[in-house]
Amino acid sequence: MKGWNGRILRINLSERKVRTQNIDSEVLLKFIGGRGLAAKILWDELEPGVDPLSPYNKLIIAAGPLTGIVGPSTGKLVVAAKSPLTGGYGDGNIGTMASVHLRKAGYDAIIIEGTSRKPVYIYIEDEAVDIISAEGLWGRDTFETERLLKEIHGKDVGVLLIGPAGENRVRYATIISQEGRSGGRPGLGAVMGSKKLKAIIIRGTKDIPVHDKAELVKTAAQAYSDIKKAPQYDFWMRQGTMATIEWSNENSVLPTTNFREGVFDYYRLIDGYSMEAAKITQRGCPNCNMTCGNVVIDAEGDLSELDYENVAMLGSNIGLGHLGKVAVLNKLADKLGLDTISLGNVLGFAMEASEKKLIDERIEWGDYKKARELVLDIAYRRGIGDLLAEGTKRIAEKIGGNSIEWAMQVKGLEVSAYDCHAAPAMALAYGTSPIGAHHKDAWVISWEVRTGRFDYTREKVEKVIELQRIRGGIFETLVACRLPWIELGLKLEYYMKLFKHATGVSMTLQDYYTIADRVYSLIRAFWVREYKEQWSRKMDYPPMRWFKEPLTKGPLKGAKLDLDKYDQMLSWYYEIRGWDERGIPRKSTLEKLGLNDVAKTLEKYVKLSQ
Amino acid sequence: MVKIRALGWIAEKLGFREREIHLDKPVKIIDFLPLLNEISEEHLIILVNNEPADKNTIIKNEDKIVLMPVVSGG
Ligand code: SF4
Repeated sequence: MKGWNGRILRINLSERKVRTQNIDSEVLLKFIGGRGLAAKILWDELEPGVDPLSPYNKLIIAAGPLTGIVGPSTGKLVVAAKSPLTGGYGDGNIGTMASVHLRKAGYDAIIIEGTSRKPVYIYIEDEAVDIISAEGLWGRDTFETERLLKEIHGKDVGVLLIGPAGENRVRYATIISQEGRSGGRPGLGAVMGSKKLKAIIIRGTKDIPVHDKAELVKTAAQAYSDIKKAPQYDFWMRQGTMATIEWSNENSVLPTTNFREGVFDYYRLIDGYSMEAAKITQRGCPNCNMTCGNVVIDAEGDLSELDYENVAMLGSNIGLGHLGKVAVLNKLADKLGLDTISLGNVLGFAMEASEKKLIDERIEWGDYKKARELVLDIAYRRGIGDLLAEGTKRIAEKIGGNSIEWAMQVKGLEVSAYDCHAAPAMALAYGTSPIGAHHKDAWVISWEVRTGRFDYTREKVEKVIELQRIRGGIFETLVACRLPWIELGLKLEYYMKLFKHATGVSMTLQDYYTIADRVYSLIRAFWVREYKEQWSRKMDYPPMRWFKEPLTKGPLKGAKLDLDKYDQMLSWYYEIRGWDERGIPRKSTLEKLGLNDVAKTLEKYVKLSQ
Repeated sequence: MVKIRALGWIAEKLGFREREIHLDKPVKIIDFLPLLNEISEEHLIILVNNEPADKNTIIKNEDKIVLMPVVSGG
């Protein structure tokens, strides 16, 4: 079958064994690639209950049929494992040349098993795989390590690597590439660190097999051209996602002082226009003609690549209204290999805990100097950094009080940069995201602002599911960047066409929705198998702060969520997905989605509803 | 006075980020911002006094209008 390589590279670091294996075409058609393939592998191969930081966890690096081929923004990879932050399924998406090289090397996925006794990195060149000592690299930051590795192996390689945070198993350490592209929020960097794996370098030299190259190139060219014709293209190239700072503040969703508020008095000092004043260049992922990594000079004179999420979380959310200083924290996070979203949450949480005297450390809102120190302490697990490296849920469990209510997380993964005091659909999107609170599966606020902020309607639930099917289903399995579609309005039909020309398989949007639903139910089954009888619908609740403490500032002052009405939306969500009132897929749903074997296994752990 | 705020690329298109105008009588938004004709509804969010509105919503003095793009937030 064209479009896929049909092969997985399996590397066992304990035994230092490498082998390739074929993937059944039936599996590829049912799960496509990326997140779908990763979830399938983790479901089939992981023993429930394994420690995510033990040799028994597996790190999956998975491409999809669009990855690396000609087409808009296709230079993306999915990284996945059981998450050390949430204890459930965790994945992330990273834009990197490693995606293109993985496919050119002849693989659709890599499975990393076991743990090396000493630090190593893996070098892959087509069929040849070397496991090489990384003693001289361990402890170095991601920028320096990548430079050193490229000096040895040449510049025309793809690199995935971790920094000190991953080495020290910070539970929200990510995997980094190309000095600032970061993926795997639920601690995928810590999983890599636990395996003593510093980096993976890939050089692929073959052609990626496609069904109809001429048509593929033609369709891709049209798509690239449509992107450039979008009325917002020029402004996007100027500000990228940074335009969202102003937008979020206007709509009272800009996270401020640990999500107490949705407006920040100094938002103009960190917005897209301030960024433009400091911008010196632009970076992006492979195959992208709408690059969104805006590079500025930070307060220390270094380069830092900014986007909305990291500026909101390391700026307004910790009360810091100085873009150059925010950029320093962001640069440090990228160098150390920390997720900026969780980091901004943890710092905001620590500031609030300090204010409430729940920790001994004194750290004021907006205290840049202290925040900078803490970022390093977290990555190296020094002093209080050791506790803060655990993520807000575990910190709250340790320090007590009512802090769990303002630990801004779902299932252990910290909320990304949209406040939900007045956004019930977005709260549902966070609640039901398959990895814990993250916006990548469904970002619904724009639609919600347009249709009414305060309603709790079935229509909103349907919208969340539609977005999850597209963003979390189509884009995460194909694997390609969703931004051409969502930001510049590239028609979804293009992706169906590109898929057809790549694979020779025709699929309607509806067919693809079924695949997305299959992947969602499989991931939910993974969570339930891990949590067993402890699983409950409360796992799908957003943080209690949004229900209990209204906004005290801005045009939406007084707004908060209503728990009963949220619960009603959650019930509709389960009903549409074919899950029971506990949020567990019904046996009939699993069977309808062709997951009979999953139903059989899951029944051993919990009683399934019909 | 009617207070108008425009955000992002919509502001670029209209040529202002903030503006105040006086209306002699209530009129539709499109009547005093004809440039909005060049922006399709699917790309545009209009709020009047924090409530969803459209190009044909009637505006009176003291109303607050926000015109913003449909962004998707990454
Ligand atoms: S739009 Fe941004 S995130 Fe998406 S592929 Fe391009 S540079 Fe990467």
